[in-house]
Amino acid sequence: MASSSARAYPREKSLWLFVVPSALVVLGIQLYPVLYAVYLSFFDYHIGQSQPRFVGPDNYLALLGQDRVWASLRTTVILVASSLAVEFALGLLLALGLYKLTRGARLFSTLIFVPYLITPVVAALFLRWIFAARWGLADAVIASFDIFPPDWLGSPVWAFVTIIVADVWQFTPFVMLILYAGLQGMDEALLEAGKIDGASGPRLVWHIILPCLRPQILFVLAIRLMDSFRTFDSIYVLTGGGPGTATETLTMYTYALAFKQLDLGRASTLGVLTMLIVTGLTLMIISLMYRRERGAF
Amino acid sequence: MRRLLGQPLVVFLLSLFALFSLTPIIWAVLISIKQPADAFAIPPKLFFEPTFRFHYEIWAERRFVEFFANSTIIALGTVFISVPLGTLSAYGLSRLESKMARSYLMGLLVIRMFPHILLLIPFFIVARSLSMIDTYPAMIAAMVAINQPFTVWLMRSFFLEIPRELDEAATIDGCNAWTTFTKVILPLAKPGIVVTSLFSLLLAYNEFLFALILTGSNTKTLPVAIAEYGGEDLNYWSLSAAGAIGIMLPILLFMLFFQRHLVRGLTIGAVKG
Amino acid sequence: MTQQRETKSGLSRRTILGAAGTLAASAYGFGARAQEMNVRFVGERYPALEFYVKKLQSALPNVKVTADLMPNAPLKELQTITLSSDADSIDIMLGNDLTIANFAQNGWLEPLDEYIAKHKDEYKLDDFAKTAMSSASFGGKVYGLPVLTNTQLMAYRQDLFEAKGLKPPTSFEEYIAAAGALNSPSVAGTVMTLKGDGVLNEGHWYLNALGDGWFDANKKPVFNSQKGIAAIETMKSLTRFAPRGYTANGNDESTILFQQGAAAMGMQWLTRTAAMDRQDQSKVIGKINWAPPPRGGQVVVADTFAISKFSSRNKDTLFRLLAATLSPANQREGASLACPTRVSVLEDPELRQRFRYYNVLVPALDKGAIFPKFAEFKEVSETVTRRVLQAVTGEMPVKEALDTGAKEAEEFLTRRGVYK
Repeated sequence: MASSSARAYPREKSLWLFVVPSALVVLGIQLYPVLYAVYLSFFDYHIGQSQPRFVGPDNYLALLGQDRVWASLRTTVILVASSLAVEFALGLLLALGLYKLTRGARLFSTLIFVPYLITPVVAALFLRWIFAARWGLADAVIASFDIFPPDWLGSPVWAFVTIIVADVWQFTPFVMLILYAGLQGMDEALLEAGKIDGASGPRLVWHIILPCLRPQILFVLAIRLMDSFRTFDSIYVLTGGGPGTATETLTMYTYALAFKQLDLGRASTLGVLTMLIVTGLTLMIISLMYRRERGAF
Repeated sequence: MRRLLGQPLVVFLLSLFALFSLTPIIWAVLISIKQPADAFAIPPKLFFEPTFRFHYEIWAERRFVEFFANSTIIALGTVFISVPLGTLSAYGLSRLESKMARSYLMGLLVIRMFPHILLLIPFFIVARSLSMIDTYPAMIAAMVAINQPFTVWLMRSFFLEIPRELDEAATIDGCNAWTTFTKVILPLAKPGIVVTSLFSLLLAYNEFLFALILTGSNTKTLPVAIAEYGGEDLNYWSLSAAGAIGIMLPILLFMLFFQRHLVRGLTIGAVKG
Repeated sequence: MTQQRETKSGLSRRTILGAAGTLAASAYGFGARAQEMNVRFVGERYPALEFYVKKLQSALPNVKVTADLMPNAPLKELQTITLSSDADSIDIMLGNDLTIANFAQNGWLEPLDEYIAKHKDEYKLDDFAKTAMSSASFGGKVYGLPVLTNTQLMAYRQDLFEAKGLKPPTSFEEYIAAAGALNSPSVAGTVMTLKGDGVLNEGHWYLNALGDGWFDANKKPVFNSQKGIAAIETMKSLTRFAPRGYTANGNDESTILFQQGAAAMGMQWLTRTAAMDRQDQSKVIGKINWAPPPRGGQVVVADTFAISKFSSRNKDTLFRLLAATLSPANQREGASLACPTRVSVLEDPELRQRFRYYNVLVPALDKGAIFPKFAEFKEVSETVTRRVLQAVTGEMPVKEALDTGAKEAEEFLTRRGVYK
């Protein structure tokens, strides 16, 4: 390790030149806008009427005092936590199932993988046609037996569940795939040793398989956490944040502030707050990953 | 473990989930080839006279060809800019071992976490002041930027798999950093480039939030167009189902064709961080 | 070859219209390409407008109109984003009372007074109904040409009412009683259309019929007055008889419920009435009748064609395009789909006879109520209607929800500098 870095040293400068173009893009088109948004968050800025007016921390104070913000934070957290939990549990079960299959694993993994490849807006539409009141597949099938199913998209609680189902439907395949790949890379001798020690079923999973999969588990959790925090497409299509504000997440509310009310100051403020929350949470997971898997970095 | 539960049970459970995965898609296909009167029937009709009228109408008469062209231009534009930039950067970073390189990589990871809505607001303001709303470059620039951190991390994992001894041998043979990269390393990284391009393509083709704001009547992409159909209008059920299927099919077939590469891209991320 | 023929016939029509005769003649020298003009239109997607878009596309020779039609919510977003960016990718658009006021105040629309004065005689522009013109105006200027007047009627299933010996309700007590009597698991007593803007339209009726409306003349909220709270309580009590999914139902969903025989009564946009008798969609042909909503106060709006300030096309041509589209002949033809805005067409006895809804329309229009006429209403209504929906679905007690909404509305309007 040390010797190779010593040899690489003289070329370090020229190697950095490779990084420069991409770094300029990242700095110019990603970092600068974020800093600009942070700057805007201290202004009362509404397109169409006034000039930006410096208001200090007023936007932050006003938003933190709004129950709509707290409600959307709560919605976001519950949404992320529940879909993460369900996706992980299902994904793990499916991966174990695939691993156990003696034949046909490839076929099943391909079939189950399909939803992950669909454009999210289209995926949400597909589910809308399942859950649409009365004419959707779910209702049509259930109502054929003269049973009247719940209001999937119209009642606050069920709308929420439907959004989670949508996320689970589309992203469980991703979790499954990663964990399955981890299982395939696992040392079978460990399993055999566990069996000789008399471990079985859940104990085997808990004590041997899960520890082996740690890097994959942390990876899927980190990725899904980042991505589900910014879920937008499926909510926009399925419920638009409704009924009322029942499925309005931080992203949805920020969107409404920015592009329905054109209140760019407050929208930036809410965006910054979201960023702080997501970054905090994800860094927590990454530091876990980093501590355990120092070598990988 | 492998004999813990019977095979039939595992097969049954997996089939059940596969059914769960595929039902919405099959249902949508059925809607798209049913007459509206059949589509709304209760109980659902399984046997009916199929029609491809709506598929024809949505592409030929409802401008979906145009939206598809917009989507393609934006997706390819993104791939052709993002992947070369990311590949260069990833090579540099895969061979650098300084603290600074490591911090830069961590920085990229943090940027990957930013909520998109936060980026969108300044993008909107800047694009607005440059009169670039509803133009291809605005949307492509946004996609390239969003895509960079992931592209760099992914390509770096591939470069890490190429032994450094090759770089060193090339240097001894008289190559400088650039020729080492182009003549020796790049050819070996081809599979990685394929994978990274696939992911960039998928991301740009699927993108909705940015397209909703940065594109307009001239540059509207397929996801935005279809959301305008199926989002509300049950009257346009069959038509929007036809549109949705049409959007899904090309990318799905393409991606299934390259499935091996995709899976490799996903899992290499999990192992290398 | 065909191209040439089109050019010639186009030219001759143009000459007959007498518009820009010399310009056309000089342009002729440059060939067909030089005079072809591409115009981009954005608007809402519903049957009547699809009809007018077809007319728009053939209204003037050598003007090619590309239409982008979508539901109301995304339309407003697209218009707001494009216009606020001064982008010229929209030339002409569909507006309504709310958006015309809002966009006009922001300086995004081209005032049309001059063009109207110039082309008044040629296109008979004096013929438009005063109420419709006022929907297209803001701050003393005209910003649009009204395409159609729209209002909500009370649609009801005549056969079901007769079977139970009921008369169409004329009061809310009767409305509630009828909804209760006709409600069953398979047929909803009353449709409610509360997705997105639906709350605004339907809440408007309750608040104007039973309450004091949304805002007073000083733009202070009054929807949370004593009577306003009672009005929303009434609305809430009717949700018992609403179909499942009513909070996620837009106009399309409610229309289908009626067509499929799954609703007994409810508010329905005039532009949706024709769909009740459509052979290929409806199972209740001839069974639906309409009456003015009890106590009136239902929403009355006009959808209008407007021109973007930022369009780089010749605005005079754009105006003539709109005016030609709204010719008496076209409006007469479109009367089967929507209420015309020209007095001469409205009062045509032959049309009154032909379309069933006409008998109800005139008394209904008399008793309807327009939206509060201030630019910020479009945005403030977004927050307020959320609270109304929370009240109606029982997520929050009615009084608390409306009071919170009023507080938010006042805070919002204060920040916008409305109270000065």
